[in-house]
Amino acid sequence: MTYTVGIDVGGTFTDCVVVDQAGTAWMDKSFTTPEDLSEGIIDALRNTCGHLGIEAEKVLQECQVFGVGTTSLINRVVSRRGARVGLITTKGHEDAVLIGRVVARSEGLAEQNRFDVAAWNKPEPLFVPGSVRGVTERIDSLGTVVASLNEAEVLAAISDLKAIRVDSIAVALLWSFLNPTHEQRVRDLINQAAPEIAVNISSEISPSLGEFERTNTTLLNAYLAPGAANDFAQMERRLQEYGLGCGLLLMQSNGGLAWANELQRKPVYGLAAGPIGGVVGVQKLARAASQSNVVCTDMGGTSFDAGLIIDGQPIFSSQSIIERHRIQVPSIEVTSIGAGGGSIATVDELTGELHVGPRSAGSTPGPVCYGNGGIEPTVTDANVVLGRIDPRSFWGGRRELDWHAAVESIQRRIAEPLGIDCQSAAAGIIDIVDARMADLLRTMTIATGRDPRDFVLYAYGGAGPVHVGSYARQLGASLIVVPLCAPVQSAFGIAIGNFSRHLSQSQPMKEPYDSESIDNVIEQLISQARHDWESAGLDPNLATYQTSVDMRFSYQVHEIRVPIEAGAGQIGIIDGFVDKYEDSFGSGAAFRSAGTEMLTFHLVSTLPAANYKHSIRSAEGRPAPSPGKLRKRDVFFEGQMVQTPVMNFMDLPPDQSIDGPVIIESANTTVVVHPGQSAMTDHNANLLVRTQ
Amino acid sequence: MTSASGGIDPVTFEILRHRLITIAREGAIALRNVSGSPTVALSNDCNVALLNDSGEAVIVGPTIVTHALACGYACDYIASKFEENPGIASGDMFLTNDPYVSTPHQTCSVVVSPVFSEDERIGWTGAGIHVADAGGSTPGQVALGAQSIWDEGPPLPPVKIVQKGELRSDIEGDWLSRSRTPAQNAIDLRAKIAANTVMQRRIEELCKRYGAQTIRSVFDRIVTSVEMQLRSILSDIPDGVWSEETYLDYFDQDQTDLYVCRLSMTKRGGTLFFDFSGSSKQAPGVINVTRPALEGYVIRALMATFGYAIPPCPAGVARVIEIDAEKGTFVDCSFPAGTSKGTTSGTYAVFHAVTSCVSKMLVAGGMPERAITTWRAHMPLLDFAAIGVTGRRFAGVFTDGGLGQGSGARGTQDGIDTGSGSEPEVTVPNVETNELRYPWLYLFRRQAIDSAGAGFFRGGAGIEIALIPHGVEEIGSIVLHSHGTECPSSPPFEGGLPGSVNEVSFLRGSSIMKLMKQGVLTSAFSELGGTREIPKPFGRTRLEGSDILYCRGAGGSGWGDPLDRDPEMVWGDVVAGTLSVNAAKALYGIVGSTESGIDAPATRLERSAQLQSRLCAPLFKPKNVLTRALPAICSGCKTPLHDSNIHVIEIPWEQLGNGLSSLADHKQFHLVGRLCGTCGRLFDTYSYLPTERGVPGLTETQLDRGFGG
Repeated sequence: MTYTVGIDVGGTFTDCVVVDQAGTAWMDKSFTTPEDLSEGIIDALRNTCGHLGIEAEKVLQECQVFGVGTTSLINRVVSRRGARVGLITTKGHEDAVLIGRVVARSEGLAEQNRFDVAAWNKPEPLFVPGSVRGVTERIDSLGTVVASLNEAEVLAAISDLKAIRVDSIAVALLWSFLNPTHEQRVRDLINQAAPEIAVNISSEISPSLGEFERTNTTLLNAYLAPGAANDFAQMERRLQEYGLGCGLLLMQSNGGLAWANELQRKPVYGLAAGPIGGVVGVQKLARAASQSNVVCTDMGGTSFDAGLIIDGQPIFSSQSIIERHRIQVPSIEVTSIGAGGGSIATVDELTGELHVGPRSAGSTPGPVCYGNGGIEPTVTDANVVLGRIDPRSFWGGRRELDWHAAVESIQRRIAEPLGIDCQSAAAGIIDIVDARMADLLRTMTIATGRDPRDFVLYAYGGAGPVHVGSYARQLGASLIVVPLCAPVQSAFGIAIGNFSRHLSQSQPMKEPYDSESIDNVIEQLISQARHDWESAGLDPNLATYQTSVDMRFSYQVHEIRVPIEAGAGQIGIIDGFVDKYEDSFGSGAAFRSAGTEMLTFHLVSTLPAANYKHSIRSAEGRPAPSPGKLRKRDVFFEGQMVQTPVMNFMDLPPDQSIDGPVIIESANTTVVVHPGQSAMTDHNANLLVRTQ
Repeated sequence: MTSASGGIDPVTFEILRHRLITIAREGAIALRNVSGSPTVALSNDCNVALLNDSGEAVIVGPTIVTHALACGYACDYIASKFEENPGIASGDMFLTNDPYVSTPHQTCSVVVSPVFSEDERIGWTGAGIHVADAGGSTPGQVALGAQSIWDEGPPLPPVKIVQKGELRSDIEGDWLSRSRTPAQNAIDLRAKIAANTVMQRRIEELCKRYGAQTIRSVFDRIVTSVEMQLRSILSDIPDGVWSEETYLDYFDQDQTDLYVCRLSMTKRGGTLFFDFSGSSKQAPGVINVTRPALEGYVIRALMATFGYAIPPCPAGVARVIEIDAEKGTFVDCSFPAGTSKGTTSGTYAVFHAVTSCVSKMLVAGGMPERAITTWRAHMPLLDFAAIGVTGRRFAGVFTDGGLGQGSGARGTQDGIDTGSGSEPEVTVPNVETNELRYPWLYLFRRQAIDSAGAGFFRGGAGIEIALIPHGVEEIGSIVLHSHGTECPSSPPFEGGLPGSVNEVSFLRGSSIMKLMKQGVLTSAFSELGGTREIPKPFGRTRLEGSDILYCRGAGGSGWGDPLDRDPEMVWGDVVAGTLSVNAAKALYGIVGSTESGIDAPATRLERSAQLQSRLCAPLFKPKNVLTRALPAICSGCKTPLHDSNIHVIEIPWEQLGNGLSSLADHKQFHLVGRLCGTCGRLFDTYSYLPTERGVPGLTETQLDRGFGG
């Protein structure tokens, strides 16, 4: 028997999913061990293997894929534990990062701080203060050398940076993505003059238009690389000590897996790994179910994360903001708002308004019902008061929640100031947070030019399935899917992930295009990808290669990514662009007479990491439900407590629809099915809830 | 459930409040998606609003608030005049760019639309965009040399552009025929219509679900809630009067005139009274502020300052203010005064004066962390047009210098280097993006050394840029329209010094091309040959092959005596490259070298010598000194301050280094410092305009009345 293992290391919990070659999945979780993440990983694996009835060591030996998504890189940025980095750039442009296109002063702030204008500041740069050196050289927008590289100045800069003891030098020159010769020469000079100093050049790390983002990306990579190499090597070594029989794989921001020793050279590509895995898992399930447009929603303790799948593909963004630093790497786009189980409810003393979030009690102290010292009522407390979450079966009964404390806190802090009863106050908290989530999803879907009602809604994470029945109804979604692995969906996505490479190359061109130039860029990208696969010990012939290009109309700024089909020719590409433009911005919006421009070419290449079955089944069998098992409890629906059946996820009769209201529980999640909704499982043991 | 404040239960209110904000976001998405123009998509110079039936802007979109306010004034006008003829019906939309009715200038245009639930009008939606050109004598926004609005783009008072859902092609034809950019304006018009349609439909859906009365109540309660919150903040601050004087330098008819915005702000209980009387008479054209724009910029300044505590609801803010201004002044002009540069001219003088008075009030109320000297000074701006070798046309507005200014010092920290403004989404494009789009090559774009106004907390460093034409023979048209070149435009606080002024200049016939070919890149203009030309701040010129365009955007003004600034912080700026070793000594009394850092004993001596030299400086006698506020004690030596133990001196511009020394040539202003006669610490600095220098329309009495404090 062989296995694939997916691990998602979060701030509080480490989640684990094991899938065997027959497609059967087991899952469990454990507490994260921040000092040595591999401890928590092994604990979670052991817990999971307990369900399989075999030793964790045996799974480690026999696993084909061992994939990990980790926040360790982001933690290094948060705690500013990175290398001493110096920067060599084009003379006259030394301040590009400090200027930060002005907007750096307000980008990436939490919602509540966005309009606190007097408190704005730019983030501390990632280089050592005083370690930026401009050198004489200049390339223009056609890639032509306007001023040649002054090597004496480069040597002087290296000598300066050595003197201030940098570990690493980032090199980012203007237009280097079009003509990298100057950057490459600077790298060679550094390697000769200071071989002990690591070098990152922007034309390799992020060969795309935009010097601010490209420089920041290169700096961040230089900042993280030495520490990442240590972290990954240590994790791999520890897992090998436990018997890991294959190489360690890590989740990248683009949703694909990469060998740890590859990612340690480009750690900046692995920063957004966490919530990405969930979307990857949904993509796989949605494809199997022939669902092309999907909203992925993950509600956890502090935030509500949402991603979109359109025509079977996740929406990607080419830029993201990491701890207020804007960088340029392809990542699956996930939008977050501060709405989670820990979001705190308050009544404004002055206006009497009821607000929920964005402040969160997080996991420490957590909701009042956790009994860890939290005193402000949260969304989870409201769910407990309303009977939606059973205080005794939380986290499979491993943690009993304090119902009385939740009631007391909502009564005193919300109900009394508003002059209403406790249940109404709790219901109000839930209604507000559900409406905020529905509002976010609506804005996200309409921004793609689509009707939100045309999407299937997936819900996972600790709290997603509790709330989805309500926000799906507000959005008008007719089908909800709560996947089998909902509590550990990111780990599931990692377990079934593919190897993936995203390569980009900016090569601005204006219509009429030179077909040969287009072909050259594409060939160059494919050849680079094939080379990468070979270097990773994989067979390039097993990979798929999809190319696309960002296009826009001249004088306009909306860029649309257009797939380049083999043999389409430039007319085909332009037609594809116009169609897609009108699809997004409305019929007649295309400004065709202005002519078009191509900017950045992209290649996505994927290669299967393991052979697994498409149909993932639950680990447990599906015994016929016994009527005696049916429980009931009071749950608040439509203004009153209603005696509501409570069923175990595993006890649901296959292919038989159950009308709401009903609560469906598994070890780590609770699905609330509202009156008027109905639930059934599909043949892969995912729960389907129809809302109308 | 019913809340104490009546009407609607708090849960429904909170849900609908957020839903209305979401509807405004959806409107903003439609606006930006359909337009796609660089002004909209790169500079975010557009916005949307949801308004109540009285035309008050209740919820505004995430970008520049003045567009949303303009929608409100348009609704007022339409509701008061059009009820019978041409009628206001479901499916109608109205267009205007008339500054005497709605927008701050003619290149801003708005479309507003009534929202009906069955037959009842429950509110309005609106959307505004800054269009590329709205006609007039000069391409772009500014009508150079205009002597009245008749010389500028002709304003269109509100007209019914959409009737019962149909775009009226006759009206559209009229609107587009006024502009040099009809195709882009046509798309922008459709964008505004699309945004209104989206928002309208969504509000109608809410009315169906919750009832029109509930939606009305939510609108009302949002406004009263913001009003309550703002009044509550104000009520905690002691009552008082604060005043300020800000300047606008405007070159017209071969001379630069200085326009003075004089504000006295009184806070009583939970209300703010703004009195602009005594401000300069209106100019013939270009720079004037109409009444809607005056109100809009007062509200905009308050929303920036109080945004930390109150949601963006102009109607709520409007309820706590009263504004008094004299008709016929440049801050409340009379027809036919021209207004074509309305968003970045007189309105900024208003914005600066309001920000300054409110910040002084916040300091008095024990909230210095919320106070700032200024968000952004007057802007150096230029519009350009060129034809490439292949016949491709280029045109645009160069905003790097304006948006890249430094913000002013704050009450508890420095200003932000190259980070001006109060709108979260405003940005400048990358150098590479601009070089791809436009026919030029940047020689440098960097933080301007010694540009920050010195102070205990310093202002933010400004920006400086140099560029040359590239890929074209010449940039055939450059229209300059800058303010803030003749005087510092943001007032420093409590003895801080002003930041640098703006500058736009040329080095004609330089040897830069030759040097680059030889592998030399230098930013020292002295090594580049050619002739330095400082053009008049308003005018039209061109940039030929070997000419260099230089632009500097101002630094922010400082707060508190620079001699009290922590030496380590001063040296941090030296290491970061925003302060020269010479300026560290001249402005802050810090002696040191790049090799060995601060020389502490020499610094002590230098600071003491500078205090002494202030005490020995000849006394200066400006006419207005007695009207400025006097702190109770000196912040340094704690001596009680009164008229007999303070010194008033002139601080020579020449001493202030890069960015201000040029003012010494103009002799328009003096920089006045008031200091403690015991220890020499500055507690007040201000620009002083002697009476013999002309300010159009200002009488001797008005000038004598005094300058803020």
